[in-house]
Amino acid sequence: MPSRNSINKPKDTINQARKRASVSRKRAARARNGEFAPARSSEASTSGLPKSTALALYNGASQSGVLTTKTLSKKRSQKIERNKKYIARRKLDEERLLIDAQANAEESMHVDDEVVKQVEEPKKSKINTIKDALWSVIEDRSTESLIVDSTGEGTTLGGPSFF
Amino acid sequence: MELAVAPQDQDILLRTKNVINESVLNKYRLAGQVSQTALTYLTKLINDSYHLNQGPKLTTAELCLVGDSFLASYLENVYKSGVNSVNEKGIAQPVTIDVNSVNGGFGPEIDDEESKNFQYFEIGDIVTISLGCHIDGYTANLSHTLVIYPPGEEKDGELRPTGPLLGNKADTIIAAHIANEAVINLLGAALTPEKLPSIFNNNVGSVVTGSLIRQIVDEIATNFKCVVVPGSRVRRIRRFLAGQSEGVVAEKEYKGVVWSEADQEASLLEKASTSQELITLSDKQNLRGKGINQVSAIPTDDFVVTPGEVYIVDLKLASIAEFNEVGLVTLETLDGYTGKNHDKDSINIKPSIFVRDFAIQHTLKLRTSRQTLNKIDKTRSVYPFKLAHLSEKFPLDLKKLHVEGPESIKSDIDLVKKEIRNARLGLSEIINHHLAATKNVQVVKFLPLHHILNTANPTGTHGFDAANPTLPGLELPLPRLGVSSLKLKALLKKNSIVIPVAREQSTVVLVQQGISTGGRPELLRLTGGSKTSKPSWVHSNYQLDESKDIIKSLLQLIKLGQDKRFGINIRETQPVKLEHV
Repeated sequence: MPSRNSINKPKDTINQARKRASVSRKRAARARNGEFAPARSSEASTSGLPKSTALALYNGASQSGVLTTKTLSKKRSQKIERNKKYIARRKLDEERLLIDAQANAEESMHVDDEVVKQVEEPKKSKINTIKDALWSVIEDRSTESLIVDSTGEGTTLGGPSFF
Repeated sequence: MELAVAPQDQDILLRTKNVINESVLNKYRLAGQVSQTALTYLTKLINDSYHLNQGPKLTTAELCLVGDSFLASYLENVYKSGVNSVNEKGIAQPVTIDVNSVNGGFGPEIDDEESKNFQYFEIGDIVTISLGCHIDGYTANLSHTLVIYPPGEEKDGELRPTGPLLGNKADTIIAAHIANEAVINLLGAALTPEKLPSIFNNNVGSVVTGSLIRQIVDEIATNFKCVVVPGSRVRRIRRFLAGQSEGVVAEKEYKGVVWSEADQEASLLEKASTSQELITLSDKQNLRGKGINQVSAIPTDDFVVTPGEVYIVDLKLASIAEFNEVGLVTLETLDGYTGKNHDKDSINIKPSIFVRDFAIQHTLKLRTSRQTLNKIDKTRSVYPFKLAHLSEKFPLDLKKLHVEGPESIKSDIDLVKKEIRNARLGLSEIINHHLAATKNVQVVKFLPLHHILNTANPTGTHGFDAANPTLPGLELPLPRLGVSSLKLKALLKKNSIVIPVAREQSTVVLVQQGISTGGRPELLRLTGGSKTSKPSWVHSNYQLDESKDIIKSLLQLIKLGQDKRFGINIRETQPVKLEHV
């Protein structure tokens, strides 16, 4: 990289790179200290809890957790609530279905042997087969021992003359 | 783009003018003689300065210019006037002098600064001289690889080399030489197919086919642990169609065997599995024999060599014995820009040979460009040229050079240099608008296979290298692996190793019965042969494996070539003695 004093220095590139590096260093440090709240749909999701307010006001109590300026919008929190409802309903349906199926199976007298599921290997593409074949050539070659040609005297062409 | 030519004219150009008769044969013979003589001249210059310590050491650029001058001035006096005069004659292949790993195209201009680190040869170098000329479009090209020995020692009153060249360079020279001779004998056998050893008979009967040529060359290469370098070919040539603009112009009815990376890929796959399914190309991959305009422009091995044709046997071989791994032998193009890391040892040179593409029309802006193009169109033909050829002072007066010494033509050379500089300015616009194509300088490289297999290839087969035009149908170097030429080029940059290459090229005419002097069908070898292209003193540890049937029959065939009475009738064009020129 040219020095900062060179005539054609790429000024902007250098400065921007430096700035970006320092910002990312700070960001990484913050993440390490846990100052970034995880995305909301994680385990520590606050959805369903009292909605956050735009600003935590000082109320005398000691501050627990991290203070952040990021808030859930009203729309987003409504959506999260709605989705949770759907998820719960889906789970219930699935359980019910499973029970039904089991009951059906028990009712009918067919008792099947446990079916061995044949796992079909994913079909290799032609290029991969070719690659494998070529790899085998490389591997065969590397295990090949030294071949000494001692059967004959070799080949000589020409003779002791420049012409 | 196709040039419009009336079918009648096309018939005259492609058929009638290519029928071998007395006058055509004479033109071919003379072209061969000029090329042969030029080769002996250049060989003598190199021998004198490097081995016999006589005369000044010429640089590569000077050798090229002097060689071109020799060809041009010799041709000035032939077929000059009278009923026999021809419209076009000249250099068909400017002199190139490729050292060691350079595959071709290294013929620096006299003012070239980049080539100044590669002016002189070193002891142990192998040097390939390529040149060619044409008379009325009937072309005779040649290449021959020489060895630069340490200064000779006195023995029996003559300076002689101290010993043969050994090692992989020797292997390549021997393999190239034997392969070349074998193919020429095989082509000769096409004249009298009844003499062909029975093992070579195929389902068509006793004929010489393209696949037979390929099989034999590949077999010889394997015996000497060599690989046939991509771009090698054994092809039929016709008037004005001597393969000088392969890739630039699609040539109808292409007849010849061409080696490419795809063949190496196939032979590697053959080692791995017996399944033909992997090796044969699917319809989508295999472009050969497809398309409307390209039907016959795509080279295939399914052809039969017939009497009355002219062939170029141009084989380049490179040894891979030193590598303990599997890999691909391929070509890298030098462009004078990339990889310029102040590395004095790496070859870095701009192309200096160009070929006009007459299919493209464009009005140039610069006056110098227009002047240069005018000069090219007036004085040069469809054959490759160098800027030095456009100069007023070209060809140089070689008599003066040899009588009065190099100082006497210094002013001429300076003038040539000046004119090259002007022409170069104009040429860049010509090249940029594709009115002329460059003949790239390429080096032969070995790329270990695992680099190709490990590489990510998200773009697949899309994209081809426009700077390196190939013959139609051969755009994809590795069609089975789906690796494009651009990908290969990128891989070559870091992972590859340069390897030496030897090249032997000869032009032969298969003269049918009744034309030649004896009346018997004969193979007339225009270039190469025992007089001019005698192999240098080399020794390889490898040899032809005579336990194999194919090699046995091959040796039988070579013996037939030496048998003057009952064997294959081969005659060589002899060079003129230099004192007479």
